Amino acid sequence: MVVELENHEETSLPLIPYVGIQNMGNTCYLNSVLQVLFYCPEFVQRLRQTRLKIQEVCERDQTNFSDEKFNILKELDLLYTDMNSSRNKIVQKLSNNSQELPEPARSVRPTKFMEHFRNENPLFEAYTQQDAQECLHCILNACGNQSLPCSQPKNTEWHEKGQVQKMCGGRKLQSATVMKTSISQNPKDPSTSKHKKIILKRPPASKYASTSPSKSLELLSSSVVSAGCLKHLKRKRIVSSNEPNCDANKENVFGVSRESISTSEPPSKKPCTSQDLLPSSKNAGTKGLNIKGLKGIFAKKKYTLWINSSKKPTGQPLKAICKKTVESQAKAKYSKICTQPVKTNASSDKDNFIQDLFYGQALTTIKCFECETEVHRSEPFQDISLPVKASTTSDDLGPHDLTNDVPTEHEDLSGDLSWALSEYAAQDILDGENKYYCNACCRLTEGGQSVRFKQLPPVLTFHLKRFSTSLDTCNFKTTVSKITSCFKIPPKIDLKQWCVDSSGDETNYELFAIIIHSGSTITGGHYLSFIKDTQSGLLLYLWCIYIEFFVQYMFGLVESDETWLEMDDEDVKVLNNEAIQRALAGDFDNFFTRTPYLLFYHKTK
Amino acid sequence: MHPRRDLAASRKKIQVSYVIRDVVEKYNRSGVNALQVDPTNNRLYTGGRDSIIRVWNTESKNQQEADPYVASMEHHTDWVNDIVLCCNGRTLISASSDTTVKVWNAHRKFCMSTLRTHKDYVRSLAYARDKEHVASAGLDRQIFIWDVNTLTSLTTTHNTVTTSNVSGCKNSIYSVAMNDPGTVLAAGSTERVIRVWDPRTCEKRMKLKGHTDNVKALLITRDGTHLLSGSSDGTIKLWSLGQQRCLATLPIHREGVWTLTTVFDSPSSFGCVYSSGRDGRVMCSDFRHPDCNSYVVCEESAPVLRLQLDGKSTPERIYCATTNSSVHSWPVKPESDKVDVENMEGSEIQDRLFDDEKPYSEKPCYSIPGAACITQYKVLSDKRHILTQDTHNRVVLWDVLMAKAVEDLGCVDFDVEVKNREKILYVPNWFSVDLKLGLLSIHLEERECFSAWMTARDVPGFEESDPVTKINYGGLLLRALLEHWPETHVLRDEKSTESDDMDESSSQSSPSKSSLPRKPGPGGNPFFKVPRHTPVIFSESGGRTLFRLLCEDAAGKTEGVSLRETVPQWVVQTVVENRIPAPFVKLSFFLQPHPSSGIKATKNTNNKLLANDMLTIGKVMEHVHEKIICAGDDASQSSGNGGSGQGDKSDGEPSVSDSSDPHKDTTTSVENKVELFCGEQSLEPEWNLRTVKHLIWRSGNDMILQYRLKT
Repeated sequence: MVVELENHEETSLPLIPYVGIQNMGNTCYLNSVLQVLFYCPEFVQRLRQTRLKIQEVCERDQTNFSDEKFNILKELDLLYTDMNSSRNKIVQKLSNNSQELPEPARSVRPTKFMEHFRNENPLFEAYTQQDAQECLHCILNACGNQSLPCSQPKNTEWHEKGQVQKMCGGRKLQSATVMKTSISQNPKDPSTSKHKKIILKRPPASKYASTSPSKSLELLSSSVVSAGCLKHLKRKRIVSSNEPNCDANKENVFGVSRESISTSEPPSKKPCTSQDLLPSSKNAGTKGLNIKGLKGIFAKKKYTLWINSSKKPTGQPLKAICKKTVESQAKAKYSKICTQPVKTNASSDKDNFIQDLFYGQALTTIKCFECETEVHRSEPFQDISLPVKASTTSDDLGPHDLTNDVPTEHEDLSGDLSWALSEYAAQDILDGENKYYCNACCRLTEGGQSVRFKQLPPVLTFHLKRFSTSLDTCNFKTTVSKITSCFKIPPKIDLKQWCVDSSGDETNYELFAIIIHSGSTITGGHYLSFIKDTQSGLLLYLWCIYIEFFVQYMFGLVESDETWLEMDDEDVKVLNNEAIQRALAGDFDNFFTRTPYLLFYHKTK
Repeated sequence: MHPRRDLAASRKKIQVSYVIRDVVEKYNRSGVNALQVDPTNNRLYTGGRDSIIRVWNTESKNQQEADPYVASMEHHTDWVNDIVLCCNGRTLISASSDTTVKVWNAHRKFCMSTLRTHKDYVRSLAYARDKEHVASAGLDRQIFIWDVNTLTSLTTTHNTVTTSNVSGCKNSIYSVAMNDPGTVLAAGSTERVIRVWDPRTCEKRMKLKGHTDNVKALLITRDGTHLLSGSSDGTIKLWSLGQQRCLATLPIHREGVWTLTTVFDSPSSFGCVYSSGRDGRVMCSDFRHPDCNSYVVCEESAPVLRLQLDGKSTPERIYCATTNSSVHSWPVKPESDKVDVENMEGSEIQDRLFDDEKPYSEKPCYSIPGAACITQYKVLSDKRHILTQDTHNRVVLWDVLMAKAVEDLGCVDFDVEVKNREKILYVPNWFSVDLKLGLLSIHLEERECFSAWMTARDVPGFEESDPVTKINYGGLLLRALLEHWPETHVLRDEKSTESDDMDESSSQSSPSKSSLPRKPGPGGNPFFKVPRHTPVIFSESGGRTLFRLLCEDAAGKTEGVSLRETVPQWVVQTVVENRIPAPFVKLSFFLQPHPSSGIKATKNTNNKLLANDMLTIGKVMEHVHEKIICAGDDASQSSGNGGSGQGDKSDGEPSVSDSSDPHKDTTTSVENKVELFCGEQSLEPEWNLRTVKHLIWRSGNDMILQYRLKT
């Protein structure tokens, strides 16, 4: 087998306490994304919490509430548990410095995750090369939509039906494969529509064509989903209340249910068909239904016993879960760390951890050039698609560049993040066929559209638009080519100047991962990721003891308390300071076609 | 016969529009974009957003004295953005958002020619007085320079115009200016740069950078050495063209500066410059003074779109056009006042400037009244009437078919009136509305124009005709709009298609002007006419106007030729060939006994039925009564047998027909016997199937209607 051969070769390399992910046939796009998310501690932690919560719910009610739709989330968590245990094994081996211990696995094989991921997202079915950005969207959405059965997008602006329809009509409703079913406006059967997503795209003619900040931004069709989920939860509660042994889990579930009900929007006319739930389904429509309301409902329905005897330790189910999942000591430790916050944070948990971690709000302003009235619209975004300056053409500058008649200076040619952000936020003129309907003028007028950030997420993703389309005059078709020009990446950036309210929110960000596309065309190539590991100081230290001749070399890295890693499928390399500095400046040694594609920043305090 | 029809088809889709308006629209309906004064004849010209250029008599200063209105010049179909009076007031040039520039005989008030070189809204005009050259510029980034003397000498045979084209602007142009001798041309655009050319050679001269937003107003001194610019960034900048730099910046406006005007008393510098814009404050700045000190002339309640000075030798008053429809004239400080300003100390001037100082004039000395502008509308559920509210808060009910106002409800609550008129009725959309002119413009497009079929007896006012006649709103309206076109009086094809009931009833109501020995055709429609003065406009969908005429003018010879060239095929089919391209819409539904009715569902009761979507529930009740209840057991038996082989039956064979019922009075009696339900909702007999489907059933699936006997 190919993999074994590679493993064999690998043994000649020094053992380091990092785990690779094996390529299962053109899955480098997935591996790079998985590695980045693995080194995003908030994500891993929240993932674990959510999964435990779901698991509890599932265990309670095996008949009605199957965990099948949480497969991706579950498998991802298992994969990460696996990676952790592998890493711990390596550390163990390194620290013991003994030959007795068996050679630990240096990489994991995400077979099961891949299976479920492909089932859910037919786009990734074939063993073909895929876009890492698209893959990231799919994983995040899978986790986001599934994280809690009653979750809903935080942004309430899209909740009005009219708004949603408008979005579908006015903008292009992309029938990308991510979208399993098109949004249904039929309020008659909420139960059949489980995970309906809307993908919003900007009109293709706009500057942000196809890679807008809201690219493939998926939103739950809230009115439909919440109603369906509500039904699930209620059934669950009823069943569980009939089983006295489940007492232990009540409080926790109650926490979930309270959230679910208080956040559900007024559902469609017939939210629930189940007769038992009629009283609560009526009330579920009102937004602020509190715990008292729930008690009342259940009192009516003679579930008072269940409600009143609620004070019992919640630890029990967690232990049970741990028993199941924990196989090795290392694993147990990891679980413990991860599960601990569950007890304390469970009630304060927000609906959708993906929303919390990865989504921000962007404010789009359109100013009419005729009457100079401004209209504002805010939209959630997961990543920010930034332009990359093509190095060959200097006249393709943005509208705000007033010097575009004279050729720009040479040093200007390599764009950096600040330049790209300015370009992104700069006014985009809606003219010609693209005019905008101004309500004040009662007509189509020219307008200027600009974007600023209203709210920034803890994990900020930048997507570099490395495509340029050109019309092939011979074949009469457009060809998409890759822009390979150099793009400087600052390790730290302050986004204050692109924010709506410059005084408010924290705006400082620090780079922690880069996904790199290697290859000269857009259709093929290879993905790998550069990741900064800030947590593994100890591991690294142990490793340094083991391989003495590396101590000197590694010392610089230990000192800086951060280790940059190059994750290339199953291969993991530690990058030295100089290499990473060069990479950030756009110099990838001999790999000319290596270009940063996705940048991940953490919010810093 | 129609050489250009193929061409028309290959072009963009052509839509038909018309404006619902009075015979004479005496007063500006909406904002006024442009002003010009003819001092020798005491005339003021206004270019309005209602597409009309109006001429006013400025001699009658006292409003009570006489009506200032003199005449209207109508040919544009969209906002008039700018006008220029040239050749000593003989010729007027106008620029419009209908993408055309028009040349008018200002004295005889007719349109001499239409220049169609621009491809987007024409936003601004510039005038070189000495050479009688006019430059037009617009959102298509193009500037054309026209020789007015050539334009006015155009005839039908000699109609080629050679112009110079100034290129190089990268963004939409919002302002353009030339000096009187025509040696300097400047353009302001959303590029935020002022570009300067030599119009004689069309060569670029320079770019002036400094403004941070769109440049909407420009003035150039006679000798072309200095330039003044007003920008959306709220500043006015004075530039030296020789040094290519900004000499002064005046941040005297709170918002965008949209208009500048002055009287040049020296060839090389500016004197008193009047400016205004979005903040509605009219400022006067003295550029002879080193501090360019300013005072507030007056304050308008709406954003000021244009200023125009008037006075025989020195400016006495200033005309102020705003986004409101009225035009005010304000007194300005006489020359002598300027001396005071000069004597003031610098610091004092600064204090005065940023104080909330009182305007020089509190009241306009004279006003040209404006008419109400429609600001909101609601198409009622019958898709025939529109309720509107205007700037005077009047609520008016309009009839789209008749193209006129039906009822003036006065100053009432718009939303309440809309609510009062809500009906359980569904008619498909067949037209679209816009209010850009401040009047109702109705647009008909091929895609949806014919989608509203009605049964004549359901349409108020049409009851007298054969009750089962099917009428098509779009078709009838097109015929009414073009009824004076001789072409429509010639029956080319004696096709009797689905609209044959129309043929029967179509009398030769409209006098056939055609002397051709052909058989007279439909010519209009038997139900209604539109007012003869209604403007009918053919344009590319959402774009350029191709042809505008008044309804009655279609009889004219030249108009007939133009119509033949522009009327799109889908309209010709209807008005000339007498065919409505859209078939009736059939709806399929199930009829089942209501669970509470006690009638057992027999096999045939599950049969799918097919009917026109405008069939009334009363007719369905009749069907239930006759075919299911009265027919008794043997009928249901026989059809039940047939029901087993239902699949073989030709498309939805069991159908409810609308065929004229001789015993009409049964309908009323049937209502008392049969009840129909859709879901929980009991259905009224006057509703029709599509109404039930869209407003009650609300699903794409086949509708299920349930019946029961009334007890």
